[in-house]
Amino acid sequence: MSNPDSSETTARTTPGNFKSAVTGLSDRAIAWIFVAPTIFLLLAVNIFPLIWTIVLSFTNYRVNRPNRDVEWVGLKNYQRILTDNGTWETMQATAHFLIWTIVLQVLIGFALAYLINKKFKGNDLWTTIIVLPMMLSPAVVGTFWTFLYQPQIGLFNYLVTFFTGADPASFSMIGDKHLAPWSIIIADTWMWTPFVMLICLAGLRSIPDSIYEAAECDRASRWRQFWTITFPLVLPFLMLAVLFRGIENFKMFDLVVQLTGGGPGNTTTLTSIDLKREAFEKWRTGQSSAYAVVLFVTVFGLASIYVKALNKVKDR
Amino acid sequence: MNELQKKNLSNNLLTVTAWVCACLMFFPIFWMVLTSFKTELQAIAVPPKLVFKPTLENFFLIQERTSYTRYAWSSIVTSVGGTLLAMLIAIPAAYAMAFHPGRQTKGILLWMLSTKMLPAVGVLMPVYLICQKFGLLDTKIALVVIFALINLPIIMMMLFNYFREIPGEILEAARMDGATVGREVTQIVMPLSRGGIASTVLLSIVLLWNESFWSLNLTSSDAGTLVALVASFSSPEGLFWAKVSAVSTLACAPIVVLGWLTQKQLVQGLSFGAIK
Repeated sequence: MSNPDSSETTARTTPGNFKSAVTGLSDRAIAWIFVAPTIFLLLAVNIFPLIWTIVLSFTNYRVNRPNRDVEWVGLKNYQRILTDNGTWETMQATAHFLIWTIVLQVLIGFALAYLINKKFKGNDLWTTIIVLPMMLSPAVVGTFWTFLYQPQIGLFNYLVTFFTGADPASFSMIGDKHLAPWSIIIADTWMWTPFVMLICLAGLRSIPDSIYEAAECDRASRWRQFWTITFPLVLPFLMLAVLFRGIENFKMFDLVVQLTGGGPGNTTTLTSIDLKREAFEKWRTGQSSAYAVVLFVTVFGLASIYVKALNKVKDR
Repeated sequence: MNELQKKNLSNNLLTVTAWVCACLMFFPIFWMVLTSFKTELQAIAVPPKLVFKPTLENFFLIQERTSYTRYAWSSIVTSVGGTLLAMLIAIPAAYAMAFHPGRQTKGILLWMLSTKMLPAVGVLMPVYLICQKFGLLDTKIALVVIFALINLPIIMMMLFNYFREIPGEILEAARMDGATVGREVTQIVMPLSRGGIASTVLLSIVLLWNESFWSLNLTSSDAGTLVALVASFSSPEGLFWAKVSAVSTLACAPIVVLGWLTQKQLVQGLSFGAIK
């Protein structure tokens, strides 16, 4: 481009294939050369460790005893993981956490989005404030909510006392084994409801007013308008929100580690935390690898079934 | 009530509901910042104190005892370094996918995003072993590389979307003028999607600054980030709530400012581009 005269004439004489004449490579080749590093690195960081994990899952290898002979143990690790009571307890805790966070976030998020659907005074500033919680680090949120949950001095306990009259020292959100699962659900809901709400808002604002006007002409009731127009059109957005929160919360680690550390007992030990313990506290490398593989299969299985359903709803 | 009054009323109701929600969401953060200016005694006062004489003592103590600046520097180096490294790899790749798409392009992009679905803890062991082997545990280099790789899919997806907005004719014209691929990328594509690249960079920095899984598990004192500093405060010194608040505030403040600039991209990035 710096000397337009010469290059223009060249371009005119050799139309189209000028570049390949210079570099000796076709567009496709160049494209592949550019994409290759990304693919290679992603393979290196994801697929390679994954294969390593799968291989380890069939052995009795232990990282803290590197000199011992590594033996193939077949499916023994899987058998042990799947028949272990602790694993199932963890799975239950995870399911409880997943289901309630999704239900609460979708219900509250959608209700709020429905109320706030139209633009209003200070809309931009409002969005800025509402996205604040999700801009924080999960570890910081977990640490800080520990403070809010303190019996006696915590703000959360104070507010509950204020409204119900219970003694603020009589309950501990993170110390009680019945309340602890709820403590992580509440903190996660606080952090991520805005995200679900923004997704719902995007859905609601994508519905053209003309549809409602037409419904108004046909004298459809508000209730009917909601179920025949609003809900079906927002459903794909809602399902996307569920997918993201589901995947994220299945991986949940840092917030819960900071907040409850998996306790009391094993009541808030989610799968990620349990897996890390197996691998780095009990040092059962083979067994923990089998555990990881089981988790991968679960996540991919559930997610792909869900995405199929999502696509069906979208196409409707 | 006539139509207009009714509309006004519902508008006011809307505004009020919206702001009540915002205040509820904001309150815990407000409380964190407020507590950081209290003395330890004021922080645990019952009933909670809203009015008090603010003090900066906590912030000084944190710098004195834990060398906040070292952790902050680590956060800056790893988040910016990881972002730049990822951009370096992603820009050519996104260019190729956006302007020379093949049959597999869509599939490759989806595969890249799907790698974000794996629970990180599942590959922690192999990554840990590799770092151990090369003596990279608790170093900033390891963190920069891992940060770059975990953000690569999201960066790819965002750049791909921005690049696709550039009309292909412009590139064709440049090619006619004899521009090489390198110049096409650096002198046409990059300047034309300046805004997009800038917001991708900011988003990536925000995400990496907040990343806690890898920094908690692969670093301790040498390469620990601010998130790791906050986490370390919660265990042994757990009772000093004013200091915990102060350190949390310090860890969040810079990123909240950046986040303000990128809130749209944040939602877009977190939803893998599903929400524009």
